[in-house]
Amino acid sequence: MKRAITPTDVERMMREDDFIVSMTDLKGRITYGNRIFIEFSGYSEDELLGTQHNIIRHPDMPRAVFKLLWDKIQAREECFAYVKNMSKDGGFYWVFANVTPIYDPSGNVTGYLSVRRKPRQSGIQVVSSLYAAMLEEEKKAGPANAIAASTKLLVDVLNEKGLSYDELVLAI
Amino acid sequence: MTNSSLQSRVVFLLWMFSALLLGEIGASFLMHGFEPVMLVFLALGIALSAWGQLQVRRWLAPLSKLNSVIVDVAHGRFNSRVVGIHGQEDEISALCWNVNDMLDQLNTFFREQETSFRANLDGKFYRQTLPGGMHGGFHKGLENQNVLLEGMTEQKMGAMRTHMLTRVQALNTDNLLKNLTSNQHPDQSAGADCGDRGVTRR
Ligand SMILES: Cc1cc2nc3c(=O)[nH]c(=O)nc-3n(C[C@H](O)[C@H](O)[C@H](O)COP(=O)(O)O)c2cc1C
Repeated sequence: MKRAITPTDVERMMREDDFIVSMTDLKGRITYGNRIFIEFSGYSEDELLGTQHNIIRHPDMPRAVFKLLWDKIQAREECFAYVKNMSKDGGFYWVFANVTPIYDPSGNVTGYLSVRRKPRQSGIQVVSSLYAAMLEEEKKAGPANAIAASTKLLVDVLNEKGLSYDELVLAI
Repeated sequence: MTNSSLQSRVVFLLWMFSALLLGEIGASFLMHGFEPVMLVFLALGIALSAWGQLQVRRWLAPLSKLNSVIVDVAHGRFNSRVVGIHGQEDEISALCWNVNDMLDQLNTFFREQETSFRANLDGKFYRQTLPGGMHGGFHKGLENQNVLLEGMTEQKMGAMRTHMLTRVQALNTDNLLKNLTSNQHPDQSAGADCGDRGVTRR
């Protein structure tokens, strides 16, 4: 699985006319990554193929976000999320991800597709502090209750703003 | 397939080259007698053509994957990609990566189009297309679709407003009638009390 990588402060910025594309099987193992994915993640195509997608997971990301992502795509819905990813060298890059199921011609889900675009700076600001608060909740609650605790925080924020999750991430 | 026939043509060339080498060594043997160094050349020549065959097979391997991906596209399926390209140094890997880029653009374009239309029909008007990362005509196409979606939204909102107004009007009329009848209520009960008079009043 994952090697221990120490996160650094080096940030990579996505370009306006690029997107990072990857596909996974039903379990989240990478089956395809485009050249921009290879460039930003810092891994070769060989290293990426067949590996779990958490290979680029950044420790600043709350677990509840990935729970939400998996819940949605397994319910055949699309999911939007701001995600902070970690490159092979420990650097990080923010993306605005849109994850959707891949269907075969008879309508069965055969995998998932993620298209990641350059995120808005204003969105990163909102989400950074939200994620930091969620991570704090997860640490306080301990591993067993982490996801429930930070999900509650997220739901509270959404209720306060009167928005659905998608509306929020598309608006910020 | 074209891949294997291309490969066999190169293999044929390589063996011809080895045969030529053998012939040359044979000629040299006839003219100058046995020279051990010639065996070294022969071994090197055969090794080179065997190695060349392996290389050619490796270089051409993505072509059959590329072919099956393109067959998928021709059938309207945009989810396959060429993988295992190994670097991007030669023309074939460049071709494979460019086909993948093209498919990423096509696939995302169609997905965005479908998802945003569906969302709009479901009343999720905030879900417009995301032209970010799309190129040229794809970018323009999604921007145009957003104009279209805005038009659909306005029309839907307009229809909803009209519907609401009609409903409000209907409610008002209902209330008016109710008010009228309840205003008449004392009279009516008075009329009921002395029904005869009520009738005779007409
Ligand atoms: C199509 C797809 C794309 C994904 N992209 C990312 C990603 O870019 N970064 C990430 O950290 N996790 C991504 N994930 C989620 C991972 O599979 C995993 O759930 C997450 O990294 C959390 O890892 P963990 O459960 O081991 O903590 C993706 C999942 C799918 C299905």
